[in-house]
Amino acid sequence: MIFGTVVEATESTVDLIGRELEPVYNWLDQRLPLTRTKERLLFDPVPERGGWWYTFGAAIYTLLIIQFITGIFLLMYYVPSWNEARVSILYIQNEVFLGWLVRGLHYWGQVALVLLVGIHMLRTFFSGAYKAPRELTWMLGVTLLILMVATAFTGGCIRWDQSGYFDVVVGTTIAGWTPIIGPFLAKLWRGGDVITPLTLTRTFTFHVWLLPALLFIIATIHVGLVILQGQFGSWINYEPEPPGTPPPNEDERAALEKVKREVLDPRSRKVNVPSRATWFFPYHVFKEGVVSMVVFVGVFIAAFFFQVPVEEPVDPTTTTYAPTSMWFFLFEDQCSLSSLGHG
Amino acid sequence: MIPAGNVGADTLMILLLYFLPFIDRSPGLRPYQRPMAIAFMFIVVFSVLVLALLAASRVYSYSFINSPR
Repeated sequence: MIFGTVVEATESTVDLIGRELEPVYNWLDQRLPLTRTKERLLFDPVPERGGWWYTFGAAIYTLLIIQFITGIFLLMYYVPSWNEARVSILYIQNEVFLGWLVRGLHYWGQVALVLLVGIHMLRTFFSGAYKAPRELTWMLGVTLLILMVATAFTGGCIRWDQSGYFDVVVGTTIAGWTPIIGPFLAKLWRGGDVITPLTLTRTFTFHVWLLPALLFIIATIHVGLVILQGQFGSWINYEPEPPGTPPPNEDERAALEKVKREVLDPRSRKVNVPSRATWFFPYHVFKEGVVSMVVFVGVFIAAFFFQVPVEEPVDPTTTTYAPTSMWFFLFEDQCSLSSLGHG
Repeated sequence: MIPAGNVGADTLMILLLYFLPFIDRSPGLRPYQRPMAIAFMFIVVFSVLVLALLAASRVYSYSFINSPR
């Protein structure tokens, strides 16, 4: 009932905007393949059953956009130098208007991002969506997981307080253990044999430029492959529907017909025909919007109520500070200790 | 001292994740039709959670050492 009302309201709003912007749209459509792209992207058939489980990718993309936007605001005040990095973060936290909230959104956004990527991968694994012809999509997804963890890690390092400094110490040491290229990697990251101000500049470069650029490029190819090959869903979409399931409505019949035609088209890369399909827009977009909104509200509440800490200034000579691992590397920390016989 | 076992386990885990679609080539999609893959998933998730909880209990004690002086 509510869903139907929302869909009708969305359709009427889209119609209204469409009428107002029709001349502009027609002008652009004569020069660019707008209608063809719209038909391909929005009116794309997707598997219907279990649709809420296939919305984490959109929530991850939403969080990535939030990370980019909040990151740009933080960049306006952050100073990547040995003496001023931590001070500039304290300035953002205590002096800049709503700086604490922007920093909180950036921090808790990264927490949600790593968790959601984990859930998204587990869902893909459990539903068997990595099987042929989607091997490349899975491999790019694993690359994205590594890049996101690396981005979150370098973000913690550039706070350049005690924890940030010792995270760099541990991170560059572990990078140095990589077989064959380890010593080269550690030297490249540190900017020499020991940690210097150059190490902070390089970690900052990785965090704000290199890793996000790679993330953006690989995420775009990953999503492009999902569009090209069609959403897979999970095994339940390729089995007979349970008895008592209502017959498909007009949209569902049209979506199913379209996907059957696409699978037969030799130019198409789609190979799977689900037992029941629906349009990506507005039905699946609605579900993705709801999940993305819930995730954003969760991140906002966390940012509002839980301040992100800043530790003591860097003191490499300390003998009393006990470095701790970042939350997503806790298992790795324990694994290292256990393999050395200390855990 | 290099925790060689850990470095080796990490490298193996990343390689297994990358090449999973080429390792699990069973035609079935349902979890019971690919028991090895699902067992692997549960072992990895369980290990990560247990190791993280063990580490968290240790790190919690550090928070008293690192409290502002």
